[in-house]
Amino acid sequence: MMIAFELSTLRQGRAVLTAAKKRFRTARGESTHEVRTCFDTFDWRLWAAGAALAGSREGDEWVMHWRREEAGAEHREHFAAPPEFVWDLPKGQPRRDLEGLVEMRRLLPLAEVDHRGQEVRLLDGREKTVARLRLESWNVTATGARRSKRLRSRLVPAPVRGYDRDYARLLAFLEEQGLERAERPVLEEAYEACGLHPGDYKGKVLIPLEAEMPAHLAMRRILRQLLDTIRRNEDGLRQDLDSEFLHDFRVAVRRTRSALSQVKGVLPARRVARFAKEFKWLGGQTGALRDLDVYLLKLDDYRASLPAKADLSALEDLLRRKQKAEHRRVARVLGTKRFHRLLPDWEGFLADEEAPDTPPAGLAPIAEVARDRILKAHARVIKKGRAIGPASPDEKLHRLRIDCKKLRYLLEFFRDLYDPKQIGDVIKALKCLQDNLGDFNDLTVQQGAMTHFAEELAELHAPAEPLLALGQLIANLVGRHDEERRRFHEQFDRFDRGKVRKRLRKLVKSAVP
Amino acid sequence: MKVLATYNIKGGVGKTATAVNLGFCAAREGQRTLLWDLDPQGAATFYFRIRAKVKGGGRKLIRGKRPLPEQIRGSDFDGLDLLPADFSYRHMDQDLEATKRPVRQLGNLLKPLADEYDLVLLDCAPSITLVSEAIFVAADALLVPTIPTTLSLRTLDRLARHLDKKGRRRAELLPFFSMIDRRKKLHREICDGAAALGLEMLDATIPNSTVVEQMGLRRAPVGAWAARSSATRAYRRLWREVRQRAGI
Repeated sequence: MMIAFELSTLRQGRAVLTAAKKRFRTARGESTHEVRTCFDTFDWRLWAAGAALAGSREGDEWVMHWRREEAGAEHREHFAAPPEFVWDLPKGQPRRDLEGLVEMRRLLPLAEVDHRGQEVRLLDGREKTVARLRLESWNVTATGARRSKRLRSRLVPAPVRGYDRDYARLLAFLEEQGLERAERPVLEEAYEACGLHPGDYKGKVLIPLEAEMPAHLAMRRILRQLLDTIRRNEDGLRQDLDSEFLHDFRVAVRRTRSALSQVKGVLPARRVARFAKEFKWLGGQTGALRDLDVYLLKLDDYRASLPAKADLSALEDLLRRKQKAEHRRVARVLGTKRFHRLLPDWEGFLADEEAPDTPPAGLAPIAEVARDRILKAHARVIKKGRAIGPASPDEKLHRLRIDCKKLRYLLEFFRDLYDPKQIGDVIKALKCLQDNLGDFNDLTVQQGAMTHFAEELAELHAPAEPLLALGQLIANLVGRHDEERRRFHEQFDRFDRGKVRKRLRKLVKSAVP
Repeated sequence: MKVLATYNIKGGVGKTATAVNLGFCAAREGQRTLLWDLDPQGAATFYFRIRAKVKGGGRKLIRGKRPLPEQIRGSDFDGLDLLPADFSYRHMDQDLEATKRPVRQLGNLLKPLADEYDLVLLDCAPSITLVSEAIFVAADALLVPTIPTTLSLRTLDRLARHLDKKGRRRAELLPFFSMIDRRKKLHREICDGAAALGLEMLDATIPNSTVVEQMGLRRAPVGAWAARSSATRAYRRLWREVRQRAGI
C-alpha cells in the first residue's frame, strides 16, 4: 500500500507543510480540485486486483482514469460518455488490461469523490523535483445519495523515480512529526463511508464448518449462504445489469437443489420436498434467458471463428430481441406471489434449528455425512465414466456431466472440512474433466439453437448472407463438438487415475472425528 | 509499447525540442512515457534538470551489464521519465559493436520496459552511424524535423532512400518542417513545394519561435510554462498527428 499519513484536521496538515518548507528546499506544486466517479463491478473485481477506474468530466467530455495497481501510473483517456461495459472503452492498453479483469461485468458507478490537493515539491540543487508532499482532502457521496461525507485528510509523500534517498529523508521527517500512518487505501475508506464494503460479494464463498457439528445445522448454514447469494443477485437480475447476476443466481439455485437431493435424510423430508419443487420451478423459469445470454457473450468468439466478411449482425439482432423479451418474462416471474413467498419461507425454514421433525440422521457429525455423500457421488462418476466407450451415445456424456456437477458441489460445500491444498487439487482434477464435458454439452446445445435461429431468420425472409454465415458457424460448431468428444476419454482417464481416487478417499475420511 | 525516435543527420534542427515537448504532450494524455537521451551532449537531460550521468557509463548500459530500469529518473511531470545522457555515449558505436547483434541491441535493451511504458522516445545525436542503424531497427517511426532549405530536403531524400533499401524491418519515416519562418519567402516556397519533390511531410509544422529558444533558460517543456503559446499549440498538433500515424 502507498504510504499516507492521516490527519485529525486540515490545519495540522498545513502546519506540517510549513515545517517541510523550512526543512527542505521546496517549491509550490499544483493545487488541484477534481470530482471523480469511481467504478467497480458488483463483485469488486477492480478493488480485488488493487486497480482503480474513475471518470471525471472535462467540459463536454469524459476522462477515464485507470490505474492497474495502487502505486502505479495513471492512464487518462478522453471520450464521450462514461462506459457501461469494457467494450465501450476505446481500444488500447487500458482496455486490454480491463478486459482481463472485468470481462462481461457491468462497470457500476459506485461513489463520487470530490478531491482537493495541495502540493509541495522538494527540490535538489538543480531545482529539480526529487519528491512531493501532498495535502489531500476528500468528500464522498454514494451514487444516488444526497449527503456527502468528509474523510479524514491525509498527507501523502510521493517518490520521484531514481531519487530514493530524498524520499527516505521526507519519510523520516514525516515520522518525526508524530503523524499516524493510514492503514487503508483511501478508496476503501471512501467506499466504506458510502456504506459499501469492498470485497463483500464473491461468486464463491468458503462456508466455515466444523467436523463435529450436526449435519442438519451444517446444511442449514450452507443453504443460508446460498440463499444470501440468490438474494444479493436478485436486484441486478431484475434490472438486467449484466449477465452474471442471472448466472450467479442460477448457480445458487442449482446448488440449493443439489444440496437438497444429494444430502437426503438430514433435514425434515416433507417440508424439504416442497422447497425442492419450488427451486426446480425457479431454475426452469430462468434457463432460457441464461442460454440467450451465453449466445450473446459468445458472439465475439463466433465472429472470430468465421471469415472477416461473414455477417452475424442479423443473428445478433435476433438474439438481442429475444433476450429482452425473455428478460421481461423472468422479471415478471420475480414479481409473482410464488416467488415472493419462496425466499422468506425458505429462510424461516432454515432458521428453525430446533425443528422437532429433524430426522435422526441430521444429528450425525457433518464430516461423516460429507464422507458418505462424496464417496457415493464419486463412485457414480467413475462407474458411469468407465462405461462410456467411443461408440456410446452423446446422451451418456451429458448425464455424466450432471453427475460431475453434483460431485463438484459436494466438494465445494464441505471444502472447509479438508486440507485446502488437497481438496484444491481434487477439485482441479475434476474441473478439467468438467470443462471438457461442459464444452461438449454447450456445443451440442448451440448447434441445435443455431439451427433453430436460422429457421427463424429464414421465416423472417432474411437475405442469404446472414444465413450462409450461420451455416458456416454451425459447421464449425459440429467440428469442435467432435473434437471435444475425442478429447473426453483422455480427460476422463486423467481423473480416473489411482492417485486421484486414493487422494479423494483419504481426504474425506481424514475429517471424520 | 511504441518506440519513436527523433532523428536527423543534421544537427540543430529541433530534434531535442521535439522529443521533450512530444514527451510532455504524450504524458499529459496519460501515455506512460520514457525519453532516452542518446545524445552525449545531453540537451534533453539538461532541459529536465537531471544530472547527465548513468552509473557505470554507456558501455555497461549498452552491453546489458547494468539494468536499464535502475538508471531511469522521474521528470518533474507525471508519467514522463527520462533515461539520462552520459558523456560516454560518444563511444556508443564501439559499445554496440561489441554486442552480438549490434543493430538489434537497442531494441533488446528496451524490451523489458514494455510493461512499464506505453511510449519510448529516443532522442538521437545527429550523424549517421551504427547507433543510427540501431535506431532505425528499434523505432517504429522516425520523426525527422526538417528545416525548409534545399539542402535539408536533399538530406531527407537521402535518408528516405537509405531506409527504403533497408528491407523489411524499417521504421516509418515521419518528416515534418521545423523552425519555419513564415516571413522568409524561401521557407514558404519550399514548404509549399515539398509535395512536388515527392516528399510526404506531416501536416503539422513547428514555427521558429523564441518560446522554444527560451526552453534552455526555463529548463522545462514549453507546455509547462507557456501553455498558450503558438509553439505549445504546434507541438500539440504534431503530437496528435504522430499519434494517429504511429497508431498510438
